[in-house]
Amino acid sequence: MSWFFDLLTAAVYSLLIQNIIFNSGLALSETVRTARRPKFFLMYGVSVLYFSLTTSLICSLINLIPAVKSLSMIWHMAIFAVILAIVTFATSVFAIVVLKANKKFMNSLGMCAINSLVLAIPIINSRSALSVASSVGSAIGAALAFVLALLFVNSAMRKIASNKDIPKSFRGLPAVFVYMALLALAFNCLSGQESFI
Amino acid sequence: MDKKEKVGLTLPRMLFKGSFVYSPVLTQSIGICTIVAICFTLKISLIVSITLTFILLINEIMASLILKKLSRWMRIICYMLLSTLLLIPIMLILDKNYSQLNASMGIYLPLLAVNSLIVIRCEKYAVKNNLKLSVFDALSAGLGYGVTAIIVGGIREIAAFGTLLGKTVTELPGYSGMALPFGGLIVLGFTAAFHKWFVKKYFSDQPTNTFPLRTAFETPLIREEGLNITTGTLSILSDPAVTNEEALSEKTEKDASEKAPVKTEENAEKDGDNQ
Repeated sequence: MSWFFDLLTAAVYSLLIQNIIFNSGLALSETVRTARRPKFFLMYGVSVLYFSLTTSLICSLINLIPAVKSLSMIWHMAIFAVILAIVTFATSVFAIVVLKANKKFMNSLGMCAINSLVLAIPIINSRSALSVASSVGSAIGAALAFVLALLFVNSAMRKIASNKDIPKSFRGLPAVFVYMALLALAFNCLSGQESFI
Repeated sequence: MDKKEKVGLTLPRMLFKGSFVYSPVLTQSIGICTIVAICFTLKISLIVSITLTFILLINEIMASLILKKLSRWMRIICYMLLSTLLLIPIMLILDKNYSQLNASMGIYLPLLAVNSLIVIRCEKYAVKNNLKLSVFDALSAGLGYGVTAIIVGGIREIAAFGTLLGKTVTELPGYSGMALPFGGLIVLGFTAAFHKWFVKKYFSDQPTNTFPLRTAFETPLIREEGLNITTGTLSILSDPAVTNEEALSEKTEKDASEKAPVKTEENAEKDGDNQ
């Protein structure tokens, strides 16, 4: 059962303690742009989960090879990027041939694969020397953190759009950035990091 | 952009408009991850900006010349691989000559390979235009990204460490929080607000609301779009009632304002007149 606890701990850590979006600043632009389009939430959430999980699993298995493990971060990044490209290609071919996916879906799928979160997770796992179970947990936690961030930012956007008391210059994107800054500060405090000392 | 407008664009005009007025970071929230996460010193901001502009330039050239013929999902994979290929020598050079600086950038420099600015500019511009215009676009987008990164990086370096390019500029105590993503977002928010005010004041003919939030009121995906399990295919199930996005967003905005009446500026002025 220890693998399950490893997985769960890593997932909770990526989601709450060291929130990958707000504490590390990963995938922020994707979060802001997707949060504006709630009708893509389900598709983006599932796709990011799929890509981060698959890439993370394959990368952590490949990282078990001593020759790969001994390489520097630069070469790890290169290998992981190639793996992500292969996973994206295979998924796209499967979606076209088997699922008969339409053009719009294929375009969105590509944008999910290029999410910086998807490539960042295997690199973080490799640098932290996480086990396979922890890597999978970290990928699940990261995808959940992305969905959580989408919900938070969408809720903020709704409030900002209907609040006329916000100064004109801050309306829209500037207010969203400031709101996200406060959320980042909150998650920062949750992680126990000292912010102003 | 129509043909007449396109022809009238000179390099300086395109550079200025593309980089400043339509700054990709401040008006469309593209590529903010790197700025928020690692641009906390001027030196790092400069390195990131130059690297990204170089990668963007090569990607747009390739997209304009060769990748046009491929389908979009294949092009996205090509951008990722090409960017990775370009980043390897850059990172090796940085690692050899500026190892400390490279270490402080951590995993974020490799992540430039999947920076959204590259994919979006290539897809929205390079694949639809010729080589010359694509090069102009890459330079203007890179410059816009760089200017924002440098402004944010400079402000954060002063606020966090009291230095600028490593030289002490203030004896006031530094706030280390400014070097964290929280500080980056705060500075980015205020920079975006200043940019909006400036563009509205001095370029009143340009649209300032380039990132409308009205679509945030749309109903979730489950009702309108999703997996068509019965036929075993993935398809977009469009609801005829919501095909007109503008109509929907206007309706939702109207509904929201009706549900939660707020004191608008016009009303406030009227109230003031009445008093």
